Amino acid sequence: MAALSRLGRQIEELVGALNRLGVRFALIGGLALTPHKVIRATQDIDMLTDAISADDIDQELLRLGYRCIHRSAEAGNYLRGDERVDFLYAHRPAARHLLAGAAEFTTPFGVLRVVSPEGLIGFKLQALVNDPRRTQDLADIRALIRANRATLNMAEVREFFRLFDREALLEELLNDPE
Amino acid sequence: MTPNSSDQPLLASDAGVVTPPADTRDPFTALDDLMAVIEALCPQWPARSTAAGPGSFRL
Repeated sequence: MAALSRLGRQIEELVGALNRLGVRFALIGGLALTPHKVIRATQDIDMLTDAISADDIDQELLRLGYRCIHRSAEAGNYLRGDERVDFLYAHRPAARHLLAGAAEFTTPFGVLRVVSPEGLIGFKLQALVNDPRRTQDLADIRALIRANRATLNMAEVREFFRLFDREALLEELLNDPE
Repeated sequence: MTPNSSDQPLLASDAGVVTPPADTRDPFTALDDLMAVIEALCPQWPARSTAAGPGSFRL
């Protein structure tokens, strides 16, 4: 079934291009909430990929008409009109582990992989720590915990909060009234 | 509904009714439908911050 939305068609095109390149990737960010029982609107596509694939992806995105607005060893940001795609490059063991463990989903946008809810919480926590004004990331973490509390691997979640020295925030979230 | 009725959800700003997505639908199809509606209302995305700055990447 073809995507109805412009964002859906953008994902479809991107997933097709990345699959043709043969690179490993997984959804993170707002889109990745979808199979984890949290559905919300989002403007951007956020992907996790192997750092070694960054150059190949850069070339492919330029071919698709995107321009690179920022690129570092950690991340790349691309824009085509008002369409945005952001990549995080996995080169540390934690991110590579989350990329390897991403689950596959058949979607209206093609077959794609999505990081685990625990990993998604970890990436959203990283984004929040890097920019505390990103209140949407905190709202997403809260929603993921609420929607998946019975099945989340809390030891893994705690490890992410410990990594970013935010154990107190996790306690606050766990004690949040519904 | 009386003002003090406690068996009905309160409708107020930032206090909407929380409704979990129906589990009978494919979630990505639900997202696509949602985005189609939002894009019809907002055909051009507003400008947003250009790029992530330097940060602490530990993952």
